[in-house]
Parts: sequence; structure tokens; C-alpha cells
Amino acid sequence: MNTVTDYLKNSYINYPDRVACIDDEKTLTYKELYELSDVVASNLIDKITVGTPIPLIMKKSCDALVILWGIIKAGGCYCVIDAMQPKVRIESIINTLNSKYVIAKSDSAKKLENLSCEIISPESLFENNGTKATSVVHIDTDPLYIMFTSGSTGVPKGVIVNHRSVIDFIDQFTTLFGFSCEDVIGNQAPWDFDVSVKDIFSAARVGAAIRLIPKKYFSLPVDLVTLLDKDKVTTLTWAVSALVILSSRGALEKLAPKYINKILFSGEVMPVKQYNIWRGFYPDALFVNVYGPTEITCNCTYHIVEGIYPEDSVIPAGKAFPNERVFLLSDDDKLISKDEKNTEGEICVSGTAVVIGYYNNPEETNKRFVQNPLNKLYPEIIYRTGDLAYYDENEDLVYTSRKDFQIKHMGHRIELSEIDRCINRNENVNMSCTIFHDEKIIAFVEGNIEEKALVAEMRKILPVFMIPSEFRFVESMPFNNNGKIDRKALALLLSE
Amino acid sequence: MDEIKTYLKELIEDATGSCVDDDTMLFEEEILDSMSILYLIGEMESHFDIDLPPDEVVESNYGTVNAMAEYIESKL
Repeated sequence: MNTVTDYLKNSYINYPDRVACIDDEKTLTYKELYELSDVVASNLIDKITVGTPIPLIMKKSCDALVILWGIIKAGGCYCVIDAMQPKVRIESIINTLNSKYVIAKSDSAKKLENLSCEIISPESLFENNGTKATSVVHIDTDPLYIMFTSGSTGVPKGVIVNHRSVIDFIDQFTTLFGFSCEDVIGNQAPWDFDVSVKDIFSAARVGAAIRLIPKKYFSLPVDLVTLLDKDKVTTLTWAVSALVILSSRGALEKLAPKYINKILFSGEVMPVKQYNIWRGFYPDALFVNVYGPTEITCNCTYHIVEGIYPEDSVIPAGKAFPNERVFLLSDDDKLISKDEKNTEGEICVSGTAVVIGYYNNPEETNKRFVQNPLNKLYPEIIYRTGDLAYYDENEDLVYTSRKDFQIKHMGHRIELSEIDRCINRNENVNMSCTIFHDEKIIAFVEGNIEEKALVAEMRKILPVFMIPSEFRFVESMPFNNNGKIDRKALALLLSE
Repeated sequence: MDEIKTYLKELIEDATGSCVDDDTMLFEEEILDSMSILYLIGEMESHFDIDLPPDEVVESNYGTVNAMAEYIESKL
């Protein structure tokens, strides 16, 4: 198995008539998915060489999945972009990719008007041009996808991941948690988040069906449980926040979908109270907490969660997946051993699942993908997650917080400095400092501007989840001894 | 009925910054999300002095201004 196209090919050979994909409108079998993606590949093959990133601006659907596989078969590297994002962010992503082509529906054209790339319509890719895609010579170190995360300099960073990392992870993931061709995987994650990688490639590897769930259902929990039950969804690999929507708003009480047997969650720490509600409805299901940043391919640790948890306990991030090394480094780059319970350190990862780096961004790549400081003898790249954790009495890792000011909010990774940069663009703002306090993004602003006007400006640039939930206007910003804005002093203002 | 619709459109604009028509698909077009719908429900409950139970928060009741207005009228 050298590339993920072998996953799809095997399922096509073994289960041609099994359902591969379901959306609100239609269903595709593995035979249809395989043959249609060949057509798409044949329409793309002249436009790309191995590793060319192809931005795909489409809502998830059976057709979008066919195109995604078509890009892969043609040797390209897919990069899904959410059409609802602000124009400036889409432009910044496509400029980083330097793309000549973008696959997008005509309704996204306005967002692309300032770019010089050629827009390929999804419909045109399905036209059978009579030629067969010549098979592309792939090797496992070729790139498979790029996922953009918020970057510390304010420019989004494209995490580029090869086939080998994905195969390495997905083989372990599907085997450990017993995925099979009988499963119906309910795909919650948008495809520009790497949680979707687990759904798409786990399904292809085992021949399971993937049920694409449009975003709107996560605002309508009762419609969502009805859908899960109707399509006999068995597997939820979801963000914690998505699971909490069902457990906190009474949807499970109304209708607990009958076929669910596996629930895997990530993105933030699962509140024990919410886990216990889920466990109450599914006493026999497999519950797994998985942890890891996009830069190490989906996840690097897992913890199988059993029984009811005491309310005051924490669900650990757990232990490393097979074939990954996950360890803690202290501030002075010393290894923290598993015997040193409760000593906090930075989570570091090495192994095949560590990704290639950041696309078109050697500076950021060199900052985070570094030589293992414990190894002076031969090259060994590790990824420094910037996440802090400690070992508990069972030698499980327990996540505590971010090392820097990058935060997790509603499942999204946000660099607070990116928000400040956006606020500071306004000519009436002197300076700003955004902090994360009590699970809320709060912006302190020094300047002469109304909140409403500022928010209106920010909405043009930042996604909704990055808009602070509260603005505090201050006469002057407090500074600490190092001449930096005093974040602690700002936090104190909030507790007053 | 028209009064209800006018109120709803103003409420949605206040909450989301979006101007909508009577038949704009509020969830499909990502104008409403899981947070803003809760805010809307709270406002509507106190404005009309009605009870809007969570298990009736489905697209057929809340998907458009038209659907919401009809649903609310049935509660009055």
C-alpha cells in the first residue's frame, strides 16, 4: 500500500455495490465513486503534476467527494477552502498556494475576482472526454492534502501532508477502533479541517459508507438526530463541540439514534458532564478521546474512555498511537520521564505521521519542525506542538493549555495576534490586545471608535469564530516591565 | 402576519448583521448558527410571550422567515 488511491481501488474491487457516500440528495456506490473519479482525473491530468495543490471551493457533497478523489488520482494535492470565509482570507490562501487553477462553483466567483487563476467548474470535470487517465506514478512521499490553520504572523499556514503519513495513521486508527465495511460514518467535520481526513480515508480503507452531514444540521439538533437514525449512522468521529450540541440541548432525550456504536472526539477537552450524558445513552459503545494537531496527521494520542466519570475528573489525552513517539520536553529541553507525575512539559511528536511542513513557508516550518534536542547523533525531525501536558498516575498524558497565545475556541485554532492585527488595521485604533478569558475572546482596544463600526470592519476579514465576544475600550494600555502589553493586568480588569 | 415577519427580519439583522428576505434559507446559507438561533428563540419567547420548546427547533419551523412566522402564529 503506497498511496491512498490503493484504499479506494481495493474497496472498489471488494465492494463495488456497497454504498460509498450519501448526501442529502443522492447516494454513490464504490463502483460509481471509482469510475466517476477516473473521469474527473482524466479532465485534470493535463493541468497538474505530482504535488500540485488544487484548491476546491465547494460545499461537501457526493460530487465534491468524487472531485477530491479525482484530484488525488491525477496526482494532485487537494486543498478544500470554505466558500463562506471572507474574501481576504480566501485570497491569502490561494496566493500562498500560487494556484493556476481553482475548482469552484459559479456562485463563488465574486470572492475570486481579484485572483488571476483559472476557475474550473465542477460540472465540467464530469464530462467524459473519451480519454482515460494515464496512471500517475505516485510515491508515498508525494503530498496528498493541505489544510490551512491560523498563523502567528497573521498569514494562514498551509499544513502539507503526504500519503505515507495518512496511511500510517489511518491503518492504526481503523484497526484499533474496529472500523469495518458495515459502518456508516457520519461526517461532521468540514473538509478544510483534518478531522475530515479520518472520515474520508477510514471509509475508503475499510469500504464503509460516509454520510456527509451539512453544517446546518449542527444548528438544528433534532433534525440531526433524525438524520443519524434514518441513515443508520454507526460512527461519529466528531469535534467535542458538535457532540455537546446534541447532549446539551435535549436532542438525545428526544431521539437517541439507534445504530451508533463508536464515538471518537477531539478538538478540545471533553467536559465530563457531557461525556456522562452520552455514555448514559450508549452504555455499550466505544468512546475514544483522541488528541493531536494537524501537523502530526490527525492525532498522536488516544484514550479509550470507559464507564461514568466523576464530575471533578479530567479525561486524559492518553497514550501514543502505535508507530508514533510522543514525549514531553521541559522548558530547558530535557525529557520529562513518565515517572515524573504531574510535571508539565511541551508535547513533542516524532514518527512517519509528522507531516512535511508548511507549504511555501520555510520560516514557520523551521520554527516548529525541528531536530530532536535529545538526539545529537543523526537527523531526527520532531514537531513541537506548543501544547502543555503532564503524566497522570496511569502514565496517560493530560492536556493542560497552550504554551503560547494560540488558543482553541469552539473547536477552532486561533492565534490571538491575528485578531489584534485585524483590529489594529483600523485607523482610529491605537492598539489592541486580545485575550482569552473564561472561554471567551475579549478584545481590549485603545482608540476612538464605536464597537459596531469596528465589528463591521472585522467581519470583512475574519471568520465569525474569530470575532471577539466582548470589547473593552481602555484609555491606555497597561505595559509590563519588558515593554509588552500586560495581559495579566488586562485579565485583572475583567475580574473587577 | 406581516408584523411578525417585519419583527423577525429586524431581529435577525440585529443578531447577525444580515438583511434577509421572507424566503431566505437561514441555515442553508449559514446566516443562523447554533448560537444565534438560541439568542433568537429567547428574544421571540419574551417578545411574543410564548414558549418555544427545544424539540421543535427543526428546519421546517425555523428554516425561513416565512416558516418562523407561521410557526409563531400557531403559538399565539
